[in-house]
Amino acid sequence: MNGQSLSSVEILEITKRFGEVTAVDAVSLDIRRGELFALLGPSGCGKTTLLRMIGGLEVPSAGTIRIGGVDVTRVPPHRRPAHMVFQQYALFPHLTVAENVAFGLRYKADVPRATHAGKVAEALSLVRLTGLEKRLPHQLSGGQRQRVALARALVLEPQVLLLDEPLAALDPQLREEVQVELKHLQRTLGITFLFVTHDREEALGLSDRVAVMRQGKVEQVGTPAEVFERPATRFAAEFLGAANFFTAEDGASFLVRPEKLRLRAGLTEDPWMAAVPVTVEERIYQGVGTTWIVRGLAGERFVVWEQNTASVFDEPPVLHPGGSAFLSWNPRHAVWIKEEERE
Amino acid sequence: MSARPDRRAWALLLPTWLVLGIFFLAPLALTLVLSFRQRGVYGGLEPVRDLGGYITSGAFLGNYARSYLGIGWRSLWMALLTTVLTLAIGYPVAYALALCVPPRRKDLLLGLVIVPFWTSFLIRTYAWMFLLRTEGLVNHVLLGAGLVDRPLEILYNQLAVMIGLVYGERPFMILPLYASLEKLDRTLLEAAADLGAGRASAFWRVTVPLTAPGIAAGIVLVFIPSLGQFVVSDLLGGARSMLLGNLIQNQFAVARNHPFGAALAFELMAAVLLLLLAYALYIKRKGEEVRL
Repeated sequence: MNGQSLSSVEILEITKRFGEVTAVDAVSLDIRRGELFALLGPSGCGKTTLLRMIGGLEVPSAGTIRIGGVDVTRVPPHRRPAHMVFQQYALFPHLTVAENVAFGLRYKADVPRATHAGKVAEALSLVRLTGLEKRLPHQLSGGQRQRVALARALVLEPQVLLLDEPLAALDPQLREEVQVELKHLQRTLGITFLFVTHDREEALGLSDRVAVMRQGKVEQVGTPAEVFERPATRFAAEFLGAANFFTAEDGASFLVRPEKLRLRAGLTEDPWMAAVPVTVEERIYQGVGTTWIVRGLAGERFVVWEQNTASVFDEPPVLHPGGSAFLSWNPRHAVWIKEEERE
Repeated sequence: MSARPDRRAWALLLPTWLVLGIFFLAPLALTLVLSFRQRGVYGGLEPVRDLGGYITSGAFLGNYARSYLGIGWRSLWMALLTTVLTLAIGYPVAYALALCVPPRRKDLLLGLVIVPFWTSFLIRTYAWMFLLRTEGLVNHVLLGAGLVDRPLEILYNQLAVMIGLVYGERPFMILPLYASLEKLDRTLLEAAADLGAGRASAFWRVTVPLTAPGIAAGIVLVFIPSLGQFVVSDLLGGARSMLLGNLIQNQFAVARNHPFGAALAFELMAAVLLLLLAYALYIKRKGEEVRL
């Protein structure tokens, strides 16, 4: 590997058409070495197709893909330095855990056969599965199967690890744990992790950078904080979380996230807070916080989320559905959106 | 649930037992008894005068002691060869049907595999006679193309029997193979490719082991009928391609030695049951091993 390029995966004007449908439309992305990168978008946005093209399981209609500076656009999957962890893990049901992990080693000419057993043991200890070598996939839990899939790909020492919806098939309780584990694994190994998800919390919590995709195009690329706090488009804003849209006098629109809004019975003391009068429609108590649904004068619907810093028993709520109130925010939290709506 | 589920279940099963008993178990028992008797001078049964002596002398096993090893072996290897050839021909067909053909064409092509069943097997075997005989279509084409200058003798020999057997048994191999290939999770093949396996390697390491139950079912479905086959060898075979099936048929229809025919039938059945037992054991082990 030459150290000149900081890029791990370069995607240049990649397009994929399935008959009449354009699944991926001239997408360009530059994924840096050692980065945890997320492709985020709703189903059908082309994120999985893009991942599969990087893995070589789909051939692009146009464009170039480079991995580690080498053009791999037409290279078959079995000759790419990128390996995949499939959504349902795709473990070979007839092979034991150790056999699954060893599956790809024989195709690596530079790995002598005598070292295989040691490498398998090493990979299994990396994912904390030592002792389960002889088990068959159906004897494992979902989390264990995923770790086998990880070990099976990592044992081949890929430059890039591709993960298709890595947390989707797991129980909700397990997700957080696996998220931490994946992050730790990536930091330890230092290789590029590229994953696809439709879950914004997964993308925000797990990645160094996120590409928000929609209808085969990339809407925005940035750190989780950037795409959440400074969404570039209305779609990106809405996909990453609830957003309240306001229209200024000049017709331009901006958004404020629910947790950045304040709902008070009267006008607040802060002179720099922008404020609009609203009517309270609904109060949803959620333990950690409370969600308020309110209506503006023109009937616009806004969502406010406030953390319950004090117990409702100490400070009984002063606002009730049907009452009027003021909605205020810090103008610095308003994100102005360029209106370039497309179909 | 009812107070006496056992008795009620038995009552419900009674019609099944009656049908099985009258049409299957009773004839089987009769044939078994028959196989221990001796043929009378004029084709009937030799009466047994001293039952105890008949049994202790071992004379009742007389039919089983007669050996037609030559025919037995020929039947066995013909059936084996048929199985191997149908597997070699059937697997690529089933593979193409399950994995390569676009879904909208699948039903049509699968239909074409099944369509021959609409015509009697006997008639289709006759059709092969017209294709293979000296003035038949095959020789006509070969002569016309100048590939041979004398018609080939391809009818009334073991080659013709082999062609007929492979032709007839082929769907029974293709259909179970297709069923297991259809169930094969394609992402497993993608995973194999992603891990470095070329097409051939992925085929032998993933596709074949995972379709082994279909292969086993196809082998059983083809091997067993081939072993008892007599129509194909009767019509397409010559004097030296007689199979066990023909021998049995002969004892009943021509030689009128029913006891010997019955004994041969039981020998064949024992061989088939052994194979089925092996298959059942295999499936049981497979079921414990791999739950997809």
